[in-house]
Amino acid sequence: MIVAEAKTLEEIFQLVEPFKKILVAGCGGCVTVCMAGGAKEVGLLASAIRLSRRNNQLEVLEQTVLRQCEYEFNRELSSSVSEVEAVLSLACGVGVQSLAEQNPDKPVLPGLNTKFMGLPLEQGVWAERCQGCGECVLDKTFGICPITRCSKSLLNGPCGGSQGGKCEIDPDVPCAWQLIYDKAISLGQVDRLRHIQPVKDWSKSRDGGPRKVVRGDVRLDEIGQ
Amino acid sequence: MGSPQAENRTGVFFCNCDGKFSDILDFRAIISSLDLASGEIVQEVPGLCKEEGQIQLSQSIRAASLNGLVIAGCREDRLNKACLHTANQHGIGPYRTAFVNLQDLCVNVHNSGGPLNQKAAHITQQALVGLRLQAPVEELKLQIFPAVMVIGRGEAAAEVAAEALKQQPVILVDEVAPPGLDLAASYAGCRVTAVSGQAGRFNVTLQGPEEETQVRVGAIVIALDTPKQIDPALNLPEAEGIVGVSSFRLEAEQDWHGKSVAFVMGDGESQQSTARALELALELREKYGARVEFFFTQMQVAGKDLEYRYRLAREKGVRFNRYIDPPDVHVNVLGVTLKYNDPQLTASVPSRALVDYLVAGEVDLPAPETAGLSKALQVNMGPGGFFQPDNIHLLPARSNREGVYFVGACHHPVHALDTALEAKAVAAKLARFAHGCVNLPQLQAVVDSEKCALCLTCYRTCPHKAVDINFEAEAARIDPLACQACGICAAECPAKAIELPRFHNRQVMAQLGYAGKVIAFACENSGLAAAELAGVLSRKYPAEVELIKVPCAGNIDAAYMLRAFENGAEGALLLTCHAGSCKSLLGHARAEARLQRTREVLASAGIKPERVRLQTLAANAAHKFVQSVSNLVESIEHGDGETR
Repeated sequence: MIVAEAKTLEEIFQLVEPFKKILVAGCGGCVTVCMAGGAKEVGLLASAIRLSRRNNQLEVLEQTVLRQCEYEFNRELSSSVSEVEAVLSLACGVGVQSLAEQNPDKPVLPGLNTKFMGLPLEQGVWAERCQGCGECVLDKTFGICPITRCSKSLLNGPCGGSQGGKCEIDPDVPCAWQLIYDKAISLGQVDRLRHIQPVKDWSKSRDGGPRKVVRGDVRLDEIGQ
Repeated sequence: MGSPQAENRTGVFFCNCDGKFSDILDFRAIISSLDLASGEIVQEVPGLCKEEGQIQLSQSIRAASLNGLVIAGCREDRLNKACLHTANQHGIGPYRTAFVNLQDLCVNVHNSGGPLNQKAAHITQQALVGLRLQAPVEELKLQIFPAVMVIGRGEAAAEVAAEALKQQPVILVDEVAPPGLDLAASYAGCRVTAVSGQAGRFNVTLQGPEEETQVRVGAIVIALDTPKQIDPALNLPEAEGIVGVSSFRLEAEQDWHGKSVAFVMGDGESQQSTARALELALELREKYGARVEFFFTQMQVAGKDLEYRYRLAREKGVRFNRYIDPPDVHVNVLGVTLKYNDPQLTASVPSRALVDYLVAGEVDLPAPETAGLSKALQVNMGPGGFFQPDNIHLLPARSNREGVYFVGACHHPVHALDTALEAKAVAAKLARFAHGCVNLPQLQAVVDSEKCALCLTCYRTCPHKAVDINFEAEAARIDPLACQACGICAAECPAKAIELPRFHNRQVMAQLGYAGKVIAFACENSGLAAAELAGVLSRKYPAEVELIKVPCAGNIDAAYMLRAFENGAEGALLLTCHAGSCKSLLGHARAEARLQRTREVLASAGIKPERVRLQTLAANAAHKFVQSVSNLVESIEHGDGETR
């Protein structure tokens, strides 16, 4: 899932400072699961904003849609959006942008910082696992992503900064290549690591500019719609 | 989640206690300040606990076709019983009848005047909006498996199996069926590897020497035998002539006449160990006339017959020696020498005793299967690696999960002597499952599968492990039999998809619309009981303090606290049980975490974070309740509260 975390309340209060009536829009997808932007957080943030503006009235509407990254779901917000001066979105960056695209005349403000694609290690702790590089190598690295988990995204690691199984950037960060090597040993396949990975084609990642996936087979033509 | 009763026709009845409350409360002012919705009525009745009062209540119910009652009056049971009886007669039932204890929450604790009347109106209004927004309570009929599984060998397992057999089928695991017990099944040499399902419908996977078996039972009793070890605190050398109390056999020796035996008991051992030592000491004295020296530091006499056995042993000539530090023990060809300081004697010269044998007190060790079983069954472990957290609500025999119980030394060695009693107590709990069917009102937490995002928060957080995943509905499912209705999940749920039928978010939020300057969120197991006790004891506190009842402090949503401040409250207090005494184990900890979060929000919004506080207290701590609410009110009066 996409993992996000709340901006500080001070930042948010500043974002909504110019307005007299806003909508706090939640998302029922990833950010509900990572407890950053679901119905619960919408309620708490709306309360916090009202409290901070108790001497300078600000009306706050609250609404949460199933997934803010879908135009269709966001249409449920349209009547609330039309009532307010600005929308504070508690979705990931995708949700914020889809709302902004749909409502070109309304400021849509981000209430969260979108962090990464990851998983919960335990309740309340999330870790990054995928960077969306566009060309998955997990088959070659025994299910451990060197693009995401190696600080340098090395394909033929480890580097000299790997000490005692940890990455030099932080003693709490495991060296991805140590993990890969340990896994290879446990599987009895260390030999596979002798194969040098060729230079990665980063054009399939962010380096090639904004990406788009087009599936001709599932696209509907104009008439079909 | 159900919506409120379609037609709400609730009547509010103030009992003025034959005019006794009228001196203090201004009922006219209170009644006129109530917000009534259409279909709601309000009346003042002189004595509702009397027959005439009940006749008047009946007439009013009939005249206005009421389907809900708020009874505001004294604390007396007979008032509640009489009103419930009348309510039942009119088909209103317990979940549409609310009682307001005006006596203990108003009359006895505040001086008369405006604030008191306002509080009386508020708490009555809270009960009224609670009913207004109360969804009909469903009656559930659950089909369950009547059989019980007893896991363990030895005395405890046999005892509980025998007790349970009187009422339901028993399946014994890892024990050879004792003769005379008509068991449904017995799986000797098997161990539990996995358990799915919930109370009433457990599915247990047993791994045998050759194959795996699935067994379906309604309840599970863990009655593992525990290994014994000579109390390490006694610091005894390993030598011939020194044995632990459980391995000492009188029959092994030909003749004990003229022999001498010392019993040395430690401080931390079980009653079972002391009981066995006293039994052996008596037999040695009575049967063989042996010389018996008994060393102890604190005589364990709390168990059944222990005091009697101790006195009898004294009478029969067992010599009891109390020590401060355990005796210094040496073994040589002459026998076992014990050197000790007798606290009765002032002489600095240590006393000595020379005996043929030394029998040492023993401590129980956790059964080796404890950790594995605890994981398979998802039951918490407690101090010393035994089963069961040290929590008063779980003692004597409950686990954190409904339908899983403990008997014997495996959960706490201190209980070992009363195994028979424990077995009976557990059998009484098991009786619930014996009929293959359980009827209960749906008062437990319910998941709205439309809203559920399957984030697993409730599944991970539930202290009672009452949450499963319903893969068909793609939503969490809370088991009505396993759920203890603490509401921790409801307050944690990031999708606001979980509600407790009697503490619905919409009910509490509406009640907060009628609350005072200082709001005490009160756990009904501690804070509320302490507040009511303050009334019984007539301990006064400021009338601006009003209570919001919650089933557990773990149900106090951060949103409730913030809403209170939004509504103009100047202070809030979370009244929780002490950590470790929470009925839902985690309630206090979750309340503490939400308190911190709320304080951060308040601080950012320019309100002093200390305006929201947490007070742990016991149900009988009326003074602490009064003190904590008074302190908060005082600090509000003295400080300006707002930082900007």
